[in-house]
Amino acid sequence: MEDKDIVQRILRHGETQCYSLIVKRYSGIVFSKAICLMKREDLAQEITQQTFIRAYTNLDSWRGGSLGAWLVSIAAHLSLNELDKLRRERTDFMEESQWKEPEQEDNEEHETLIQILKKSIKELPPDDQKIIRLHYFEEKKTAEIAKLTGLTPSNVLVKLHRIRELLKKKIENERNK
Amino acid sequence: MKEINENELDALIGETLRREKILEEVNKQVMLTVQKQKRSKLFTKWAVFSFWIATLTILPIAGVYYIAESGLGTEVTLSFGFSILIFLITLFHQANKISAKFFLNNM
Repeated sequence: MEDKDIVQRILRHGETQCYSLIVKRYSGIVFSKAICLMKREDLAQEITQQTFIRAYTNLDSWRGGSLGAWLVSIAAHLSLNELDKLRRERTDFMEESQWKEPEQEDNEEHETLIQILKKSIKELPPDDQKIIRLHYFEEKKTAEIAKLTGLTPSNVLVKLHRIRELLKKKIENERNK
Repeated sequence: MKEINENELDALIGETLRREKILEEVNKQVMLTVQKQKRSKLFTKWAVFSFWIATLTILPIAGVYYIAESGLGTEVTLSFGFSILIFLITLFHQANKISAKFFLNNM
């Protein structure tokens, strides 16, 4: 479903549950923008939530351009306000000159890599996704993963190696585009 | 862009998966807030709607009662009462239509 249709359904028919599609679709880029500016995961999460809530409240003021760009601009606005607030609090303790501006470029590169990986992980077969989730997110040992997936430990290691190689290759390909 | 080594790749995969969880939580929180906002908006609308229906019902009935009590005669009271009855029937018919539409759009 297109963004415009989702917004129409929310505004005209009050189908609020459709908003979840918008959040799922754009939370990645909104979070990326917020973390680039805020540098802290907890603050970026808060900004992302606020962005979507504010966007929902002002959904009727969306002019029909790119919804992603509109959401990112709200996130940037909220982040800058929050940074201003933090900066004001900081200057109570230190000189203005000691404030270091964030290294924007490095962050953007990092965020690009995360977006590429996110997309690549989603494209993996479900079994492979399960293996990397167990290994990297739940930090399970090879033997435990083997038990949970019904594979042998050596098979798990081989699969993990292949998945990593594949992800690396995908990153390289995306970078070269 | 510089080449990424094995450790960086591991860290990136871990971060990507962790972020997925954060975004799931964001989605959950946003939807909870949105539903809460919707309920509160719905409640306000109903409160305003009910207030006006009650006001528009009580005032004409009070008027009929006042006329009946003031001794202007049965004919005056009945004719006023009849027009008020027509008014109330129209009002409830419209209110029913509005509330049905409202329920369809918000429930």
